[in-house]
Amino acid sequence: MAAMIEVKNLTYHYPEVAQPALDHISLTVEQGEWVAIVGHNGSGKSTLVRAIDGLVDFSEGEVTVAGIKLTPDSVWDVRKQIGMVFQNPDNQFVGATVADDVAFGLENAGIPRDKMIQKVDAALKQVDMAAFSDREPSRLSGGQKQRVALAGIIAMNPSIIVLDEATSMLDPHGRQTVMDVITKLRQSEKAPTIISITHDLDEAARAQRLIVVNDGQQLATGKPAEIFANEALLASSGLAQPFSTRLARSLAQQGSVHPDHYLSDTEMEDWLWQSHLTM
Amino acid sequence: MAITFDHVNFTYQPNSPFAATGLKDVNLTLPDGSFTAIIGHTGSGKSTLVQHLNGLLKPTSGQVQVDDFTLTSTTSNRHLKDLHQHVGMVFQFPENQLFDQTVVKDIAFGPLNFGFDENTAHDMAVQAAKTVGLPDNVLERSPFELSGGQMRRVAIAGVLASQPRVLVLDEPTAGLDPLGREHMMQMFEQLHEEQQLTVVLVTHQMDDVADYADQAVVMGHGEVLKAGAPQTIFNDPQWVYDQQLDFPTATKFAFQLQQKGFSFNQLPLTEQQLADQLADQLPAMDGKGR
Amino acid sequence: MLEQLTLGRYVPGQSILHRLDSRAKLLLSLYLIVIVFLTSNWLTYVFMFILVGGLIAMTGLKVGYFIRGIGPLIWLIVFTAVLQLLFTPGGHVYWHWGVLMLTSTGIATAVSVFLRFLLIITMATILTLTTAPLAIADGVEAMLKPLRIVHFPVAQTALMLSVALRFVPTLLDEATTIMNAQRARGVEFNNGGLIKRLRAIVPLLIPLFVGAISRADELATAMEARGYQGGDGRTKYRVLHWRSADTMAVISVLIINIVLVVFRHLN
Ligand SMILES: Nc1ncnc2c1ncn2[C@@H]1O[C@H](COP(=O)(O)OP(=O)(O)OP(=O)(O)O)[C@@H](O)[C@H]1O
Ligand SMILES: Nc1ncnc2c1ncn2[C@@H]1O[C@H](COP(=O)(O)OP(=O)(O)OP(=O)(O)O)[C@@H](O)[C@H]1O
Ligand SMILES: [Mg+2]
Ligand SMILES: [Mg+2]
Repeated sequence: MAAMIEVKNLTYHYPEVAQPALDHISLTVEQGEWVAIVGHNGSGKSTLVRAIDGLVDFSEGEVTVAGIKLTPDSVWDVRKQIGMVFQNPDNQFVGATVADDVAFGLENAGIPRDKMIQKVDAALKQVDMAAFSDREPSRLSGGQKQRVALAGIIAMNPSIIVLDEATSMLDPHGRQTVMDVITKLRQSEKAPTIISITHDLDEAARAQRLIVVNDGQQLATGKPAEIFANEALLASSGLAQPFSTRLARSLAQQGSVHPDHYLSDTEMEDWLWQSHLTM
Repeated sequence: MAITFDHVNFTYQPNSPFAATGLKDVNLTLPDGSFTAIIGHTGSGKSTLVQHLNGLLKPTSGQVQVDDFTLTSTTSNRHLKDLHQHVGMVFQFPENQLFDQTVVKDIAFGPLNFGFDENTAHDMAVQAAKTVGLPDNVLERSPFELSGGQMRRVAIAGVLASQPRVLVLDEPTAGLDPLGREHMMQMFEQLHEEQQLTVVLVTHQMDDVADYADQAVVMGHGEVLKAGAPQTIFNDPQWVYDQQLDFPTATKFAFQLQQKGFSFNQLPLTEQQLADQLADQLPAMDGKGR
Repeated sequence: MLEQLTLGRYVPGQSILHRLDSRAKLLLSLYLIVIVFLTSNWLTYVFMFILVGGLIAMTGLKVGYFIRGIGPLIWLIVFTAVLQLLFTPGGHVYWHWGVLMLTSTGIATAVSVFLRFLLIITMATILTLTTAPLAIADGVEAMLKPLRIVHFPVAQTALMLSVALRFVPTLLDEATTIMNAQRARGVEFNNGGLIKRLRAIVPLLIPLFVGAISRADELATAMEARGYQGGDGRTKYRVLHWRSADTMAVISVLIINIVLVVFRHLN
């Protein structure tokens, strides 16, 4: 597999802030991979993905996206490769209606109008929002707005999709509908590389790999199960413990058998059932 | 004393093309010292409901009783100040309301408005800052220089400083990381236990409903669809699903175990309840059955 | 209070006025406003009121809604008219005290100022109630187009206008939330003397300002991430459609114009 994103030694200071937001961070994301970035508030997750998209001018280090080295000259080519969905549904809705918003990126790219109409329609169908194409944003729920944002990105057909806490302001139903779109995208033929930033461990567990960010550095990376199994790591990076770990501890307090290492939810179910059968 | 809603209706912008129903015939009792969770899909009327608790909205018809205060469509705004102090209200993303030059001044803003003198207000502010766990060295800094989590705490302290007896929280932990969330919820729990505050929590987090609330109210299209102990609400899975609601993590896990063959005589809502019931169906730690 | 104001609001609908091209509506509104200013005889006023009444009927909205909506502005209109009434010299003098006077010219001027204001505000309200903000922005862009020759950034201005209009409801919501949050902390916005009221505004304005800036910042980031570079090379998704109804509207106005000219000659 080829590397889709390569970050080397990236360092960034916000103006007039002593602490660097990114501190010599290096990492790689493979083509077609789904990576989740986790870490406590202020650990540098958003700054990292913004730097990769050329949205902050980093002072030190190197970013390569789809083989293009990020420089002031190449920044618009890099951005063509990446589609970003941000946290606040209201602050990224540019168009006056759903269809206008989906078209915004296409307009910027200078796509001819007849092609644009097809792409907008197709993208809206993919996120299940075709029936709302004339709606103004003030008459949409947060989840619907986020799906429109996703449609705007799908229409551009980027090789990478970045979700920066795209579901964190939504209700459970809204979250579900957005995650369903991502799952569907992953199953498509040309599945894009996905980077999702999230505080929701269930959502993170769906990724193939986790990157734990702390104080602007990559503290660890690995399969979700590997990361969740490392209690010391979770504690030191301010992450919550997964449900199965907490359940195992409660079982131990009850004096009952319990697994002595991390199990995913389904493994835990099987383990419990096997133990039950030995009674 | 308690909080009661008696046939409360509310319409936004009545007599205009924008008229929208906010509440429909709401009848509800929140006992003194209770911890109530308000849940429901977006636009179901949760925020509209809780804004009636301190008179920010007045019923179009019907009556709200909050301890000694009575609120009807004709209640004059002049009589609401005491109610505002009695019922503290933490809005969604409350850090958006900060404005003063220093943290301590911003926290003291409420007490000053409610007629306390400068010194008393300052003391109340310092006290509230301590309650929410703000370090002393931030008190004289500008609230806009703080991290998101700290700004949230300043805003909450700004509500607690006026020493309300009822605390209304509209999704207070949205956007915080899991540990920040947990600390904040434990802080509210502590206020509830130690000062017997009546707490009303609007939330999309079913784990919070399971862990902290003793009563849950399910809203839908401006109506109260169901009210009762969390246990009774979640006991009807199909209904919960139809309301586009989620389940607590432990409950979802229990459903999976049920499919495997485990049985639960009471639906577990918390990981503790789940462990309790599982322990009976598992061998003890020494390897022998019980 | 803010909620009552109708000027600047849009009510989605399917009336004839809703479906007219925004360029036609903008042009005709401008034209009618000019006519109102040129109006000088009573017959014409009567005619204009009948016309505006007809337009209101065509919107499909209730008359009461217009009347209530103009309510918050009526004092502004009355105030202007009273100034005219008391300070205009000329004609027969009925009463006179210091610089104040009541003259026949004054009365005529006051009445016509009152009527003009009322007509213009009602027409502007009809325009915004039946035209989506986006369509207004598009219409303005179309009308500004000739300015391209002098290198005026027409496309950017239009996008700015459309984004600004798109954020009006969001910012109004935000203002309401902040006001509520501060009321819950004991601020009284509608109580007390002028100084007290002015001071109550500070805890509203600062958060609103801070919020608007961070919103603008996030929006700019999102637009940049989606490839917005300003300038040219952008294509347009939305095109305006001039239909026969629009031509009809323009013809109707021309007919009205002829009627008005005839009225002028009758006098
Ligand atoms: N515009 C800014 N100006 C100054 N400092 C900033 C700015 N944005 C972020 N920071 C600081 O940079 C650090 C990293 O912030 P960043 O937003 O990347 O964190 P994050 O991991 O995305 O946090 P969260 O989970 O809260 O979104 C933090 O210490 C933050 O306070
Ligand atoms: N100022 C307003 N004017 C008109 N309608 C409003 C206004 N505020 C809310 N509504 C409408 O009232 C209904 C209930 O809104 P409310 O804000 O109480 O929902 P909610 O349950 O708090 O939703 P969320 O979970 O999204 O916060 C919605 O349909 C909403 O569109
Ligand atoms: Mg972030
Ligand atoms: Mg709400």
